[in-house]
Amino acid sequence: MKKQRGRPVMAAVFGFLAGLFGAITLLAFGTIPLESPFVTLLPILGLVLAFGLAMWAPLGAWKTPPSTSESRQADS
Amino acid sequence: MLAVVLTALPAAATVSGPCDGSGTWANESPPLEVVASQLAEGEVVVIPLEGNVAWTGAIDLKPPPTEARSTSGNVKVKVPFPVGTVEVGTWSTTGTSTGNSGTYEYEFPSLLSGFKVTVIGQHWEGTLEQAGSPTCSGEVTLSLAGTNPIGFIAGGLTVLSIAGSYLAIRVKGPSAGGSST
Repeated sequence: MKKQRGRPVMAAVFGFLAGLFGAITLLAFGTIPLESPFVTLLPILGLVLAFGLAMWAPLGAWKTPPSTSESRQADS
Repeated sequence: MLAVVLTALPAAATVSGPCDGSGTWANESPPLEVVASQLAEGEVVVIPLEGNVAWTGAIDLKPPPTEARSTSGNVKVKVPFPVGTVEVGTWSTTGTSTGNSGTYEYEFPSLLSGFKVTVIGQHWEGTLEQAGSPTCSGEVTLSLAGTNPIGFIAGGLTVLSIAGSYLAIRVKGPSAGGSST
Protein backbone atom coordinates (compact mmCIF):
# COMPACT_ATOMS: atom_id res chain seq x y z
CA MET A 1 0.00 0.00 0.00
CA LYS A 2 1.43 3.34 -1.05
CA LYS A 3 2.00 5.70 1.83
CA GLN A 4 0.05 8.91 1.49
CA ARG A 5 1.81 12.19 2.01
CA GLY A 6 1.34 15.90 1.44
CA ARG A 7 3.41 18.23 -0.71
CA PRO A 8 6.84 18.16 0.99
CA VAL A 9 8.60 20.63 -1.30
CA MET A 10 5.80 23.20 -1.10
CA ALA A 11 5.55 22.67 2.64
CA ALA A 12 9.31 23.16 3.03
CA VAL A 13 9.17 26.44 1.09
CA PHE A 14 6.25 27.76 3.12
CA GLY A 15 7.86 26.52 6.34
CA PHE A 16 11.08 28.32 5.50
CA LEU A 17 9.18 31.52 4.70
CA ALA A 18 7.15 31.22 7.92
CA GLY A 19 10.35 30.94 9.95
CA LEU A 20 12.04 33.77 8.05
CA PHE A 21 9.13 36.20 8.38
CA GLY A 22 8.65 35.11 12.00
CA ALA A 23 12.27 35.94 12.76
CA ILE A 24 11.94 39.33 11.02
CA THR A 25 8.81 40.03 13.06
CA LEU A 26 10.61 39.24 16.32
CA LEU A 27 13.57 41.39 15.24
CA ALA A 28 11.43 44.33 14.19
CA PHE A 29 9.54 44.39 17.47
CA GLY A 30 12.78 44.11 19.42
CA THR A 31 11.83 40.77 20.98
CA ILE A 32 15.17 39.24 20.04
CA PRO A 33 18.49 41.00 19.36
CA LEU A 34 20.13 40.88 15.96
CA GLU A 35 22.75 38.34 17.08
CA SER A 36 20.13 35.89 18.38
CA PRO A 37 20.53 32.33 17.02
CA PHE A 38 16.77 32.33 16.39
CA VAL A 39 17.39 34.54 13.35
CA THR A 40 19.19 31.64 11.69
CA LEU A 41 17.41 28.75 13.34
CA LEU A 42 13.76 29.70 12.82
CA PRO A 43 13.79 29.47 8.98
CA ILE A 44 15.71 26.17 9.09
CA LEU A 45 13.40 24.83 11.80
CA GLY A 46 10.35 25.88 9.79
CA LEU A 47 11.71 24.19 6.69
CA VAL A 48 12.55 20.91 8.43
CA LEU A 49 9.34 20.82 10.48
CA ALA A 50 7.03 21.52 7.55
CA PHE A 51 8.88 19.05 5.31
CA GLY A 52 8.68 16.38 8.00
CA LEU A 53 5.00 16.97 8.64
CA ALA A 54 4.25 16.83 4.91
CA MET A 55 6.05 13.49 4.62
CA TRP A 56 4.32 12.14 7.70
CA ALA A 57 0.96 13.77 6.85
CA PRO A 58 -0.61 13.30 10.28
CA LEU A 59 -3.53 15.57 9.39
CA GLY A 60 -4.70 13.28 6.58
CA ALA A 61 -6.55 14.48 3.50
CA TRP A 62 -9.16 17.13 2.96
CA LYS A 63 -12.71 15.88 3.32
CA THR A 64 -14.26 15.54 -0.10
CA PRO A 65 -17.52 17.49 -0.37
CA PRO A 66 -20.53 15.55 -1.71
CA SER A 67 -20.69 15.42 -5.49
CA THR A 68 -23.28 17.44 -7.41
CA SER A 69 -25.46 14.42 -8.16
CA GLU A 70 -25.38 13.36 -4.52
CA SER A 71 -26.35 16.88 -3.50
CA ARG A 72 -29.33 16.86 -5.89
CA GLN A 73 -30.53 13.52 -4.51
CA ALA A 74 -30.22 14.83 -1.00
CA ASP A 75 -32.19 17.96 -1.93
CA SER A 76 -35.05 15.91 -3.45
CA MET B 1 28.11 56.73 10.73
CA LEU B 2 27.21 54.00 13.17
CA ALA B 3 30.86 53.60 14.08
CA VAL B 4 31.09 57.18 15.28
CA VAL B 5 27.97 56.80 17.39
CA LEU B 6 29.35 53.61 18.81
CA THR B 7 32.79 54.97 19.57
CA ALA B 8 30.97 57.37 21.85
CA LEU B 9 30.37 54.25 23.93
CA PRO B 10 33.70 52.44 23.80
CA ALA B 11 32.91 50.57 26.98
CA ALA B 12 29.28 50.07 27.72
CA ALA B 13 26.79 47.96 29.65
CA THR B 14 29.57 45.53 30.47
CA VAL B 15 32.89 47.33 30.84
CA SER B 16 36.28 45.88 31.59
CA GLY B 17 39.43 47.93 31.90
CA PRO B 18 40.12 51.58 32.77
CA CYS B 19 38.05 53.04 29.90
CA ASP B 20 34.86 55.05 29.89
CA GLY B 21 32.77 56.90 27.37
CA SER B 22 29.62 58.91 27.02
CA GLY B 23 27.14 60.21 24.51
CA THR B 24 24.82 63.18 24.94
CA TRP B 25 21.83 64.01 22.78
CA ALA B 26 21.31 67.63 23.85
CA ASN B 27 18.49 68.31 21.40
CA GLU B 28 16.25 65.63 22.88
CA SER B 29 13.57 66.59 25.35
CA PRO B 30 14.62 65.82 28.00
CA PRO B 31 18.29 65.61 26.94
CA LEU B 32 19.58 62.04 26.76
CA GLU B 33 22.94 61.29 28.34
CA VAL B 34 24.46 57.82 28.29
CA VAL B 35 27.57 57.10 30.36
CA ALA B 36 29.09 53.72 29.70
CA SER B 37 30.23 53.01 33.24
CA GLN B 38 26.80 53.82 34.66
CA LEU B 39 24.84 51.37 32.55
CA ALA B 40 23.44 48.24 34.15
CA GLU B 41 24.40 44.90 32.66
CA GLY B 42 21.92 43.92 29.99
CA GLU B 43 20.44 47.42 29.83
CA VAL B 44 19.15 48.39 26.40
CA VAL B 45 19.95 51.97 25.40
CA VAL B 46 17.21 53.47 23.25
CA ILE B 47 18.62 56.17 21.00
CA PRO B 48 16.74 58.47 18.61
CA LEU B 49 16.50 57.57 14.93
CA GLU B 50 18.24 60.80 14.03
CA GLY B 51 20.10 63.36 16.02
CA ASN B 52 23.31 65.06 16.95
CA VAL B 53 25.36 63.26 19.57
CA ALA B 54 28.26 64.74 21.53
CA TRP B 55 30.56 61.83 22.30
CA THR B 56 33.59 61.33 24.52
CA GLY B 57 35.95 58.43 25.08
CA ALA B 58 38.86 58.18 27.50
CA ILE B 59 41.26 55.79 29.17
CA ASP B 60 42.47 56.38 32.74
CA LEU B 61 46.19 55.53 32.64
CA LYS B 62 48.32 55.88 35.79
CA PRO B 63 50.74 57.46 35.40
CA PRO B 64 49.56 59.34 32.29
CA PRO B 65 51.79 58.65 29.29
CA THR B 66 54.57 61.19 28.74
CA GLU B 67 55.95 59.60 25.61
CA ALA B 68 54.17 58.59 22.47
CA ARG B 69 52.83 55.05 22.56
CA SER B 70 50.87 52.95 20.11
CA THR B 71 47.14 52.41 20.53
CA SER B 72 44.53 50.64 18.46
CA GLY B 73 41.00 49.42 18.68
CA ASN B 74 37.83 48.51 16.91
CA VAL B 75 34.08 48.54 17.11
CA LYS B 76 32.08 45.51 16.03
CA VAL B 77 28.40 44.72 15.67
CA LYS B 78 27.11 41.29 16.60
CA VAL B 79 25.16 39.59 13.81
CA PRO B 80 23.52 36.15 13.58
CA PHE B 81 25.39 32.87 13.30
CA PRO B 82 27.43 31.91 11.31
CA VAL B 83 28.88 35.41 10.69
CA GLY B 84 29.25 36.35 14.37
CA THR B 85 30.54 39.93 14.23
CA VAL B 86 31.03 42.65 11.65
CA GLU B 87 33.66 45.35 12.14
CA VAL B 88 32.17 48.81 11.67
CA GLY B 89 35.06 50.95 12.89
CA THR B 90 38.74 50.74 13.70
CA TRP B 91 41.56 52.99 14.85
CA SER B 92 45.34 52.72 15.06
CA THR B 93 47.52 55.60 16.14
CA THR B 94 50.58 56.75 18.06
CA GLY B 95 50.62 59.56 20.61
CA THR B 96 50.21 60.62 24.23
CA SER B 97 46.50 61.34 24.10
CA THR B 98 44.28 59.43 26.53
CA GLY B 99 40.93 60.64 25.31
CA ASN B 100 38.94 61.97 22.41
CA SER B 101 35.66 63.75 21.87
CA GLY B 102 33.52 65.22 19.15
CA THR B 103 30.03 65.58 17.79
CA TYR B 104 28.33 63.59 15.10
CA GLU B 105 25.08 64.06 13.25
CA TYR B 106 23.36 60.91 12.03
CA GLU B 107 20.07 59.76 10.54
CA PHE B 108 18.83 56.18 10.33
CA PRO B 109 15.86 55.09 8.18
CA SER B 110 12.67 54.33 10.10
CA LEU B 111 12.82 50.74 8.82
CA LEU B 112 15.58 50.13 11.38
CA SER B 113 13.58 51.36 14.36
CA GLY B 114 13.02 48.80 17.07
CA PHE B 115 15.94 46.59 16.08
CA LYS B 116 18.19 45.61 18.98
CA VAL B 117 21.85 45.61 18.04
CA THR B 118 24.69 44.60 20.36
CA VAL B 119 27.89 46.52 19.82
CA ILE B 120 31.36 45.59 21.10
CA GLY B 121 34.19 48.05 21.57
CA GLN B 122 37.81 47.05 22.21
CA HIS B 123 40.95 49.13 22.81
CA TRP B 124 44.60 48.05 22.95
CA GLU B 125 47.43 50.03 24.55
CA GLY B 126 51.02 49.68 23.40
CA THR B 127 50.36 47.99 20.10
CA LEU B 128 49.07 48.78 16.67
CA GLU B 129 48.04 45.16 16.28
CA GLN B 130 44.61 44.16 17.50
CA ALA B 131 45.70 40.83 18.89
CA GLY B 132 45.57 39.23 22.30
CA SER B 133 43.49 40.51 25.18
CA PRO B 134 42.45 44.16 24.81
CA THR B 135 43.27 46.72 27.50
CA CYS B 136 39.63 47.74 27.58
CA SER B 137 36.51 46.16 26.22
CA GLY B 138 32.82 46.64 26.59
CA GLU B 139 29.52 45.99 24.96
CA VAL B 140 26.13 47.64 24.84
CA THR B 141 22.80 46.79 23.29
CA LEU B 142 21.34 49.67 21.31
CA SER B 143 17.77 50.05 20.10
CA LEU B 144 16.54 52.72 17.73
CA ALA B 145 13.42 54.49 19.01
CA GLY B 146 10.06 54.00 17.32
CA THR B 147 7.83 51.23 16.02
CA ASN B 148 8.96 49.38 12.94
CA PRO B 149 6.31 49.05 10.18
CA ILE B 150 8.18 46.01 8.87
CA GLY B 151 7.09 44.11 11.97
CA PHE B 152 3.41 44.27 11.02
CA ILE B 153 4.06 43.33 7.38
CA ALA B 154 6.33 40.44 8.35
CA GLY B 155 3.77 39.32 10.94
CA GLY B 156 1.07 39.14 8.26
CA LEU B 157 3.39 37.25 5.91
CA THR B 158 4.20 34.84 8.75
CA VAL B 159 0.52 34.01 9.19
CA LEU B 160 0.10 33.52 5.42
CA SER B 161 3.16 31.28 5.27
CA ILE B 162 1.91 29.17 8.18
CA ALA B 163 -1.44 28.83 6.37
CA GLY B 164 0.42 27.76 3.22
CA SER B 165 2.39 25.20 5.20
CA TYR B 166 -0.83 23.86 6.70
CA LEU B 167 -2.35 23.37 3.26
CA ALA B 168 0.82 21.73 1.94
CA ILE B 169 1.15 19.15 4.71
CA ARG B 170 -2.32 17.74 4.00
CA VAL B 171 -2.39 14.54 1.97
CA LYS B 172 -2.59 15.10 -1.77
CA GLY B 173 -4.31 12.83 -4.23
CA PRO B 174 -7.83 12.26 -5.54
CA SER B 175 -9.42 13.08 -2.23
CA ALA B 176 -7.19 16.03 -1.53
CA GLY B 177 -7.67 19.65 -2.46
CA GLY B 178 -11.25 19.98 -1.28
CA SER B 179 -12.79 19.01 -4.61
CA SER B 180 -13.39 15.76 -6.39
CA THR B 181 -13.96 17.33 -9.78
